[in-house]
Amino acid sequence: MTDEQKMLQDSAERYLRENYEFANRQNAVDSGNAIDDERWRAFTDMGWAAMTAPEDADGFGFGLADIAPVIESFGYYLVREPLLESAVLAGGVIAAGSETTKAQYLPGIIDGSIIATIPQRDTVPLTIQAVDGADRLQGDLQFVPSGGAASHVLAPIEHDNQNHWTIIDLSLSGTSRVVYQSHDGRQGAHITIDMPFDSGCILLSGADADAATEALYTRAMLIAAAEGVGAMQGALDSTVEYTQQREQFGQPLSSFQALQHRMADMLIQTELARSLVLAACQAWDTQANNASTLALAAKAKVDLAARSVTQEAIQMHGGIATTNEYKVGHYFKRVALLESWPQHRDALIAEFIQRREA
Amino acid sequence: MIDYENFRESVKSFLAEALTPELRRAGKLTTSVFSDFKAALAWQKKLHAQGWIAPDWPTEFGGPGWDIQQRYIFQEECKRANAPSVVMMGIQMLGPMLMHYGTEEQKQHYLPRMLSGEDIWCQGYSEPGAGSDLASLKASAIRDGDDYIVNGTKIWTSMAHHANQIFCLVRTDKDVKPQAGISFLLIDLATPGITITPIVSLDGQVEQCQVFFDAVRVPCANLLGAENDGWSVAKSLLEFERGGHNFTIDVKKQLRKIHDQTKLTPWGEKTRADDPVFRHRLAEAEIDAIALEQTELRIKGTVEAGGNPGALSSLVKIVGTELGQRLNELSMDLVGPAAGPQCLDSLDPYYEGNAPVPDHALTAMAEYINNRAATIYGGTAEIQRTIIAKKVLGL
Ligand SMILES: Cc1cc2nc3c(=O)[nH]c(=O)nc-3n(C[C@H](O)[C@H](O)[C@H](O)COP(=O)(O)OP(=O)(O)OC[C@H]3O[C@@H](n4cnc5c(N)ncnc54)[C@H](O)[C@@H]3O)c2cc1C
Repeated sequence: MTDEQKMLQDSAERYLRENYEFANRQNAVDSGNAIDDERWRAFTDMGWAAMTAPEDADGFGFGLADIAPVIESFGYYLVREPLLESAVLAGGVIAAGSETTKAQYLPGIIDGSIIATIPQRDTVPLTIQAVDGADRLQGDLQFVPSGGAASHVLAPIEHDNQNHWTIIDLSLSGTSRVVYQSHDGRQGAHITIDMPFDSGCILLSGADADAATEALYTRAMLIAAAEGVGAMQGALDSTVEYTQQREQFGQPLSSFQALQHRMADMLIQTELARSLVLAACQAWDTQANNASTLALAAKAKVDLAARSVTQEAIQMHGGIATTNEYKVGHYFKRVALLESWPQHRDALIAEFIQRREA
Repeated sequence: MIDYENFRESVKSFLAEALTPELRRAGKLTTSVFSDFKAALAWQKKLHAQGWIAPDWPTEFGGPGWDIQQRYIFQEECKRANAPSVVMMGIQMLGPMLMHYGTEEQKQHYLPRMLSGEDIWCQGYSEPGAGSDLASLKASAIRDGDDYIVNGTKIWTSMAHHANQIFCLVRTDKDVKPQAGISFLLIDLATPGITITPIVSLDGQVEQCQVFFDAVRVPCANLLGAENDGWSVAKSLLEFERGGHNFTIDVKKQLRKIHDQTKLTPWGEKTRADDPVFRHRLAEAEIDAIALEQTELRIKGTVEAGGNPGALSSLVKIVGTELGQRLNELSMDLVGPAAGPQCLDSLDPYYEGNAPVPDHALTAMAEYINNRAATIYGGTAEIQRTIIAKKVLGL
């Protein structure tokens, strides 16, 4: 690990520990704002949006394995601002594009003035239709997880038997969205596009677009998986701490062996998931042959393990964990939604089987 | 001989008539053991008018005089028709205890009001410091002339924000072993000194409250059972809470819902109904549901023959709730990203706006969240297992 990486990890962890207390997060959720502007500014001021950006675009050029601990911290502190979606995922697609679009969008992503997000993996691509002699871009993007916070959305287009990626400025007319409050404290959206087609907004086409799709969703799986590991760790830590404080029958809950073994199982699952996620991130960074298969495995593993670990956490806390005011249940809600991001676990496992057999 | 098919038909035709679209919608949108309160109360009044509000009660107190099979048919048809659930703490939990332990005045005063919905009851057992270890409860009642003065707090009190009455366990003797110094008190929530603070649940809705008692005067006549004998009253009540519920009916409803959902959920070119992996998972749960049903039938048989199902009741609470939770997960697997939106407005049966998700996806996440509590309330799954280990296995 370089000093730069270490500094980034430590500063991210420290900043979130000191400034992203759960009560503040909930106040921000209740305020009705999709993101907390002050936190967002702090994230980008500290350079977090530049973590994986290429060095020639003023980024640090880190790989996913380098930033996995930072992503875990996002899960641990239940960060709801879509920094990773914007900087790593959308930013990654933009970085694979032309010098022109890079110059147009990357600086905004890095300084935080652009918040870009991406749709579900199985989104039906937009189409380009001739209407009254002019080309229009049309289609729906359903359940875009941070669609309420975004200033821009990246979208797939299918046209002339080719795939493309475009970036859409959501302040333009011809875009509209229905924003909804999501169970994980974020604001998602259904986005409808019906606007004049602007070829200048095409980021990638053909084989480049296909490669970008593969890279985008592999990284999305890895980021979601690393975030899930952070959530598992948070649920475990909370359980260990709470059961030591809470007394019933004249002794701490943690003294009951029936619970001790289950907390040991939570740790086992968290560590297994962490190992797999780190290996999958490394495989991706080094473009190993099995990188995609490992990413599918990592995401599926985290989905199942995080589900069970966060359920166990609620159970061992008892009633307190069923309240909105208490943190631990929020891990449960977040990982429940991560199970279908960027695509449902069952589809990922089906793909895992295909790749193994190929 | 009762003609059960005939009975089923009469229940069905009553439901077809009595359930308005709003009431059915309330039933459909129910995401926990409680339905929308307004709808629940409206439904209670209709059932009361029909004489069917308390299927388990003896006729002398206003029950319909049905046998176990008829009660099962009634519950089943209500679920099938998406009837909302009636708030159960009065009729299902306190009612039988009143019949058993209550004085004549208490029975005559409370039972009819319970049936009509004039009184809505909530259950004040748990305290911040007394959950699984209920006997350690601290809320105190000290004798002062013909009254008790009650001080302390109760937490997780379901429906306290809608109720006007609460039945409480309070400490009336500090100097004996914990179980021996507890009494069972019926308290009017309008009494001065009571404050009710709602608790927002993980799904964003309010069902539980914390109730504070500050020098609350309660007439001694409101004692149920003898002073310091509240623990026995409470224990028999908890058995009603655990054993009286029919989990198979809930589980079957969930299974039906999931089967319907599979046909609406795209899977590649087809739907989830054609996905062998999902069908296999669902079948595994269905097999457990059949085992649960057969166990409930065995209990019913034992009870009908005048026996005590004992261990089987504890077992059923564990299996019924954990299977329900597994089915919630299967629903979640079908709903996918549509589980995201919180839809608090759209879950109100009287709401007229548009929801951001299709109907079948509206409740999945809220149910998944709320049902985690099923293995916590009414005696946690761990405490139930301890009961089996101790009482049945003799460990
Ligand atoms: C949705 C909901 C509705 C409720 N409604 C009501 C109501 O209307 N009225 C009311 O009075 N109460 C109500 N309750 C309270 C409920 O009865 C308590 O939550 C329950 O008894 C558990 O107590 P606790 O929450 O304090 O958990 P704790 O007792 O602190 O238990 C925490 C964890 O430790 C475990 N544990 C405790 N002791 C042991 C042991 N000896 N061995 C192994 N494991 C152990 C528990 O099983 C649990 O997993 C409700 C609770 C919920 C969540």
